[in-house]
Amino acid sequence: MPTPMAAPHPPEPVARIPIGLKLPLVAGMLVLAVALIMGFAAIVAVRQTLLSTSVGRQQQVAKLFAEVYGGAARIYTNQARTTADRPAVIRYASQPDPADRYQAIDALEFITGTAQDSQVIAVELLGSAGQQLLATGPFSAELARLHDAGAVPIPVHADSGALGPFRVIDGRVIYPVVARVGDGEPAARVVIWRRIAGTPETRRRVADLIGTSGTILSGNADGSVWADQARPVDGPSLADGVHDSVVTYHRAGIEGSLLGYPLAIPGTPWVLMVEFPRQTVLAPTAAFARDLTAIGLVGVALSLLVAWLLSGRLARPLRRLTAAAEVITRGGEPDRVLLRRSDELGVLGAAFDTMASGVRDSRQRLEEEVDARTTALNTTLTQLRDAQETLVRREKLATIGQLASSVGHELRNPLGVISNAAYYLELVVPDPQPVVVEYLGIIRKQVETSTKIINDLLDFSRVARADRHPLSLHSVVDAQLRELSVPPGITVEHDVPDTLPAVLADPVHVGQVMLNLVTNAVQAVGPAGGTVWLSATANGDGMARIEVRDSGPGVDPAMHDKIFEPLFTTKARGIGLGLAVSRSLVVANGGTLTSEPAECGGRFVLTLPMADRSP
Amino acid sequence: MSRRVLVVDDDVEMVRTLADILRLRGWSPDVAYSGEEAVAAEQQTEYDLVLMDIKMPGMDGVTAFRLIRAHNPAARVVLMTAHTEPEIVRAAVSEGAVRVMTKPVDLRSLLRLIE
Repeated sequence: MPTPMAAPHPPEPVARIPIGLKLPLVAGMLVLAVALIMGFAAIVAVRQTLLSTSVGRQQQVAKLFAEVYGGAARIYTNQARTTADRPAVIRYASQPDPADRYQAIDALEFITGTAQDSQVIAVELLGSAGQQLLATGPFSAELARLHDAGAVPIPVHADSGALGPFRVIDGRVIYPVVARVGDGEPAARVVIWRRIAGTPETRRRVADLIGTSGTILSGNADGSVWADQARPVDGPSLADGVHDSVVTYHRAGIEGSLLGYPLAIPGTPWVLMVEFPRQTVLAPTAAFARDLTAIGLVGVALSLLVAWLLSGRLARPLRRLTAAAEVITRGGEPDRVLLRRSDELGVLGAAFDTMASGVRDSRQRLEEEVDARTTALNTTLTQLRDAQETLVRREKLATIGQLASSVGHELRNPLGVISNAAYYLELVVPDPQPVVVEYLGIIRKQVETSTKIINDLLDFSRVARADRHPLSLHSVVDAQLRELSVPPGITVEHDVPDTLPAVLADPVHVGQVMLNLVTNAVQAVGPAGGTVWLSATANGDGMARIEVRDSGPGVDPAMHDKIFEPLFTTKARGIGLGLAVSRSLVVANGGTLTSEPAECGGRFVLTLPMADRSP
Repeated sequence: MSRRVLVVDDDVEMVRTLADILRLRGWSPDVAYSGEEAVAAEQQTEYDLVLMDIKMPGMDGVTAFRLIRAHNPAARVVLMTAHTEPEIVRAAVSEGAVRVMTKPVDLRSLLRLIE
């Protein structure tokens, strides 16, 4: 598994609010907003409906009571008319004779006396100049104050009456009912002063009609005085006149505003007003708002639930896609996402699966490619390393060669001198002691060994150029064996027939190689003694095959090739060039030299081309 | 009358040992330490044998050999060399050198050859 590339960090999930929560939140807020707006609109509509309903009711009640009040006003006017028509009154008005005074007062008290009308507080007779002729009733002493509070109207026609506006005296609301006396002009008048005093009966009827929270007010047309069934109260100014609409006003001691519907009472200078506290009118709104809030909350909760479920359906596949994408990023192979949906998410899932499979395929191709390239690279590397090793070896060998050549040549001179000196001593010492002979022999032998080493070095450093001639192996081996001094205990046996066809080789090279191989074999057998065998055969493929075997310990199987490398040696002495030189000489003569496994001991095989290679 | 030999080498001890051995063997050795000296000596004296190193400072042995042969075409010259370059050996032998011997010179074979 190749290490995945240092993947750029996948973007951290920045969604502080996951989609599964965000959607319900948004939906919930939207539903809440809609519910709020609609609730507000509904409440406004309800209030307006309540207000207009209230106005309608006030209107109806106002008309009803205006008729009642109008009817009462006509009755009171008729009472005044009847009183004014009494002969004693007419007489006293035209001629106020003190003798007639009591008769006139009786006449004035006729209505009040018979009607037992507690609303009448005074009756007076005014002269044509407006001066008071007679006055009677419990309030007659206070009549000057009543006149001061406003003019008493003069009825237009002799047979008609008139009503005056309300005025307030000592917490009571009082009004005059006027009728003309006689035909004189200016006319004398009978004024009956009445006060407003609602009976429990009228209050009950009002309550039946409009409830206890409603009130019926009456007042002057300009709104200057207002009264409920008994007492004066604060009310709105009607200076702009009475229109078919509700007026809103406040009254000390009552919280909130009041809604009043004023209506002129026909045939009087008065208006009637049906009044409700605004709070009462709008009271159902609060209940409606409570209901609406409860419904809204339930709606929001339901919409949250639905949105949560929906967003779950939306978020789950997204989470699966995200997880799969992360698996791909980490270099893994995700399971197929397989969203079984027919909407856009399903399409996205299918596209993702296709992409994942594409990524998997291309990653596999990439890995294969990388493997192939790696193998090729390794092969090239190995070749390069081999080539480099060869180069280094060659370079090393070339350097060694140069050094060896120069050192070798320089050593040959001193060796020559030593050799000469020893030889001179051999010549000049007469009858030498055996030990002197032995030591001179040691010197000679060591010089020979040194010479051999130097020769090997020089041979190795020199490019071997074979001067090849047809050559009898038999004679070459014979010559070399003659030169070889074999230590006692070692037998060298050879089977190189002189009938063997000639090989094509440089005699010096072949001699050197044979000497080297046999010397090695003798050294391998060692002082313990043993045998060295030499044999040669024609190979049949145009090559002669020479084998040099020995009864020594043999060559480690792992070393068969290694021993031919320059500077490799298993001997305590020697620089490890013998076999390397031998092989290069043999190769230069078109042959081969190998070390081969044997049943016992060492076995070196040398091949050389035959001089006559025609079969 | 002993046979006259000229031993030429730039190595004084080489010259000394060779001359002593040859004297023991009945030769009458002269010595020279360079090619120039050898050529000059040969002009003076007729030698039965010139034993001369090839590699010497100044005139080398092969040049000296050629000059000696030019002066006396019958001169017998044995060349000695620490080198074994076959070209030099072949060239010298083809021009009439008796033998080119590789150092250290095997005295037994040298004596066999010259005696």
